[in-house]
Amino acid sequence: MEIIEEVGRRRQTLKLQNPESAYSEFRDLLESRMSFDHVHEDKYYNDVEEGKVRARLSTIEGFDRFTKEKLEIFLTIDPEKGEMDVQVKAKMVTEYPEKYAFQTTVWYYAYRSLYDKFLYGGVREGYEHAVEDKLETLMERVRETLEA
Amino acid sequence: MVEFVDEAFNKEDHLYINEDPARIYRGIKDMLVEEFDMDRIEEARNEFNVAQPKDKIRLRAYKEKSPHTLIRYKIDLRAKSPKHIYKSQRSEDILKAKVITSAKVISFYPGRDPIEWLPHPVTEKPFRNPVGGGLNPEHESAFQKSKLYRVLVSLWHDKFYSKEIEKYEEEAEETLLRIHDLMREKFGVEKTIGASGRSQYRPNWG
Repeated sequence: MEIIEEVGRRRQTLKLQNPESAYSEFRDLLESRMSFDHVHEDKYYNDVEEGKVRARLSTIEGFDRFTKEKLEIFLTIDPEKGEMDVQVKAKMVTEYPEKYAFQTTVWYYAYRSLYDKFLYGGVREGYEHAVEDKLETLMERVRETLEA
Repeated sequence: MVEFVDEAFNKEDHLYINEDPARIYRGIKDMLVEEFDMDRIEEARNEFNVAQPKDKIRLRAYKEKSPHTLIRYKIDLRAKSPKHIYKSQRSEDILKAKVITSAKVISFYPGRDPIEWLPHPVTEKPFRNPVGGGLNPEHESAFQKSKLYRVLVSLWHDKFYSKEIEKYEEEAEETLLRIHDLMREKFGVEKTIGASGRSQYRPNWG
């Protein structure tokens, strides 16, 4: 059983200071200068001669054993225009385990629905601000690091 | 036989280049054996075209981690001319090199038979195609086929063995990230973005 809640979306087009090193700066930002449990690049497109880069990334940070924050990042770097387009979708994902056969029954589903409605829903709402803050921090850091 | 499959990694790289996309798969098998110490490499259906760059390479590499567990790497490489839609904003003679990788950690119980030094007798049994990377046993006892065995194994796998599985997942991820980096190096492209935490597994390449 999975509950996905979209917390926010941001989009920025930046004039780059140094388009050639934008991708490596962005890597450094995600891998070293911000704290995420996991950073993954799902898809990557590169026009090698022109240096145009398009990528889809995702970052994950866990809050507790059920809930994690997921940022989906869509990145486009165009060195000809000297621009970078960043779109970020911030999501909060709650996953209840489905390892065993009894966890896939309708009774378990009903129990988890009630648990989520009356007990855990409030806890999840409490995490929303943290996800929003992380999204804002990421966008600010991207501007600070890369903008001309 | 009880089987558990844990997804570890999925990634795609698409590189648009002007010449020689076939360099993507040259020496790939040597690289897998020498650099990553794979135990077994299987070639799936590969396709080569001499008239135009349209090659498909499909490799499956296996790394055995214990008598129960192996990591299965799936590496698909393509050297081709991109489809019409991708040519609309690029020059007509553009070519594409594509790398698609994925990895799964697969556990089998009761696992591999112990290696015997006596050769098996020649029998008239029908040929059995070995599935599961050779980790499935030839014969299972009545207890190993029972429901109780399945329940006990599931508990052991989830409660005690899961730390090891996490470690193997990290190893699979680091290995495939390294393969992607080496592939990109061939085209002069920067390293990939990826951080697995590296709490469990320390790769020997840094």
